[in-house]
Amino acid sequence: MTAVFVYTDDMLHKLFHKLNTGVLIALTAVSYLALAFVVYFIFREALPLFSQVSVWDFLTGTRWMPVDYGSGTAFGIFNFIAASVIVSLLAMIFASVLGLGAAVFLSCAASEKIRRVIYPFIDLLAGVPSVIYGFIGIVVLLKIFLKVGVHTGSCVLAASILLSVMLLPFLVSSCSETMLKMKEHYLPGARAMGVDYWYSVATIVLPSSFKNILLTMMLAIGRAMGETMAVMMVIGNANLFPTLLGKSETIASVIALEMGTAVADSPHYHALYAAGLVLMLLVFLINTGIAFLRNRLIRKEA
Amino acid sequence: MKLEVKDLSVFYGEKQALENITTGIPEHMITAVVGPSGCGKSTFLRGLNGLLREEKGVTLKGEILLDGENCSSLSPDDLRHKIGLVFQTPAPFPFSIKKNMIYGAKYYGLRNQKALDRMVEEKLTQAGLFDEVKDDLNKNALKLSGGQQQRLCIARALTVDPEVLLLDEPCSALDVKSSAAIESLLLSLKSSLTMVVVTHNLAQARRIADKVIFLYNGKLIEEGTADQVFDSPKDPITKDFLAGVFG
Amino acid sequence: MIRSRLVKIWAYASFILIAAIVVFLFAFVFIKGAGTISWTFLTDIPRGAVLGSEGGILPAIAGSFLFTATAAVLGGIPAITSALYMVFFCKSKNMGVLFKSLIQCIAGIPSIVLGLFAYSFLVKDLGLGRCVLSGGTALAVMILPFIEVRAEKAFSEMKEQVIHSSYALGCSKTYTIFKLVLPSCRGELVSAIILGCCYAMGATAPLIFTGGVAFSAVPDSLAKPAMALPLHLYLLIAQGTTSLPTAYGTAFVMMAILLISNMAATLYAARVRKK
Repeated sequence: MTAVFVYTDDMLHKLFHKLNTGVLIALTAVSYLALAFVVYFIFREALPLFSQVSVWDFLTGTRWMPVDYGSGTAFGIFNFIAASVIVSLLAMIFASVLGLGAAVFLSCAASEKIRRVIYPFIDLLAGVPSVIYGFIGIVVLLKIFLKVGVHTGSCVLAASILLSVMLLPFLVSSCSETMLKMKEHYLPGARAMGVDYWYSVATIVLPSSFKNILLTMMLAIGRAMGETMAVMMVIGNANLFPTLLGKSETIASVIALEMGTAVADSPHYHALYAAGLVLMLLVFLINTGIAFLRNRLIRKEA
Repeated sequence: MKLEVKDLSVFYGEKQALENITTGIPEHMITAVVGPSGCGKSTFLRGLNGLLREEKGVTLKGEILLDGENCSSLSPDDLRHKIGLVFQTPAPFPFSIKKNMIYGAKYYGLRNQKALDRMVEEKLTQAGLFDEVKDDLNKNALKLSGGQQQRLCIARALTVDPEVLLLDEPCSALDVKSSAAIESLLLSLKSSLTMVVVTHNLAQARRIADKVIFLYNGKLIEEGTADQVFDSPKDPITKDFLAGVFG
Repeated sequence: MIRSRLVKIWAYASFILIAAIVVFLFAFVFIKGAGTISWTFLTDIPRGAVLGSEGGILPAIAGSFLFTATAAVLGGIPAITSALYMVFFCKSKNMGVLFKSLIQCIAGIPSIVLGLFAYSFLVKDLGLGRCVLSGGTALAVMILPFIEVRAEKAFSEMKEQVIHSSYALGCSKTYTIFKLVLPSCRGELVSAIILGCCYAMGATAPLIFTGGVAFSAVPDSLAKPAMALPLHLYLLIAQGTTSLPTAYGTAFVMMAILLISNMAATLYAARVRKK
């Protein structure tokens, strides 16, 4: 590996030296162009819809009839938005209970050695593809729900539970990092006063990490909303307002399920892009909110 | 004068770190820059070889002449080729000793393996390190002791044959024995090099310096031969500093 | 005192539960899938009236690697140059903040939306059709911020004096980057790219309508459609229980690839650090 690296690196350097920084800047620009391209294409394909349906009807309507089978078309994604938000919110709450606990364990109970062994496993968990979660959700989780008496087993709760497991690695690694910093910062002082170790963890480390944890949890919601496969495979995919044990459908699942059959440039096609646009804007909104809050909450302290 | 500094001012954003420094660095001598911490010693040194320009939010004013030629007419790379710099804490590259040594020479086009080997031996010998490491040149440089690492960094700076070598508190991270080794190394290099050493160690400045520049709050307070400055300082601030009133 | 005990119990219990989930995930897939794995399964094409009821998954394995390689090249190179630009070239603080938030924006785009983008831009507008290049581009945008963030972290953690030592020898930035920065950070870079590839290899949503086609052969060019492992698994599950053994086998292969590449990344980074 090393030998190969050195060799190619030598050749690349000669090449690069001639072309110099221009190439580097051009390649860097590609990253930012990518963002511009994505935003442009989504907008371009989404906007034609709104000559047929008003934005308000699109966002608040509950009828979704993209192809005319005699009773006319309807494009209302209210239930999908509600499902995306509620499933993500629930998943974040479930994941926080476990994730924060594990973060406390890793930052305060585990030694440096254990941490170094555990972190790669968290990375590993983060790498498990969502379709695998969906698969296990179907063959394990839905069976349980079916036994308990939920019709077909598919429901919002199952989707939230599955999604919460997917959020765990992110929550654990990000929160334990914060707590570790807080522990190193405050705990020596508390220990010097002879206070019980776990008491000081509960009264100092946790509260002082609170703001960062809050931001991480919000970030997790944003990530959860974009998640497609696992949720789609266990949520039942019916255009209903989400209830805990009922079926529902998220924005991402609508797109994934219907994009294959939508005729290019038909209203259906534009509606799916508009749904994608709404999803993207929702996530951007959350992320901007986080950036704003971070400035308010954390910079002020420092 | 090897280097002439005219009205050098440096700003970090709004804050002025150096005010109108005018001085000269004599050829084939060791010039020591002394002063209390935060007086602008390191800034002065980095200003000399243009490294300051790499930092964010720094503005430089004034002129620096190398052999009478304005440094701003040289490209930054050429300037640094002629004026080398060694940092306070040893900063070897995370490679083998040999790779550290041939890094710069390769940049200047030396590819011949035998010539490279010869160069490595010559420069390491100059830095007094060759006998200690000749058997494991492929050892990672980070495994050397602090003093050895610092001598390696000096040897590395010599590999590109600079005309001037700037050293930023080269001994402050080292023990007494390693410091002594570096001091004698610097004295032995005097015949071929012009050196500027920033130091907070007055005894060291006295031992090695031919010329001393005293900086205080970004201003040049006093300069002269080591004897002049140490034995009969003219400025009251210099007197207080040498007497250990502050620093 | 009760509170401190509760926190302690909570911490230990959550950790044990999460550990149990990790063990269960891998054990379940490996135990259930082991029976399906055979040489034929890995090297045959899918057969049978119903997809995957007989035969193997070779096209999906080959397709996955091709999709991932495309994404790694298209996404990895701009990611690393962006990181280099941020650390070594960008001198304005405001621009740095702007670029950083743009990268975060890219990271925030849901992967399904990237699929929509690739469809309208590459499949439809450029007329590439469903192919490896279209799907790979969507994946590339997906892993770009993932690699960029890690690369930037590795670069900015290098000691400033080490880099300035190279400048002080009169070496140019380009030389410093290629001969000092990249070799010094190769552990972190290689592991970032490997983890990014794992991420791309597991993604399904961007491929559904941009590059994946059922029953496709082993792709021989980037302009051909291909099957990918996660998409294959999804299609197998979506058609009911007839192909369940094949589904377990496919999941086994995916998890095995994930496990091996993660181990390789960790070990390589550790080895470089030790040296």
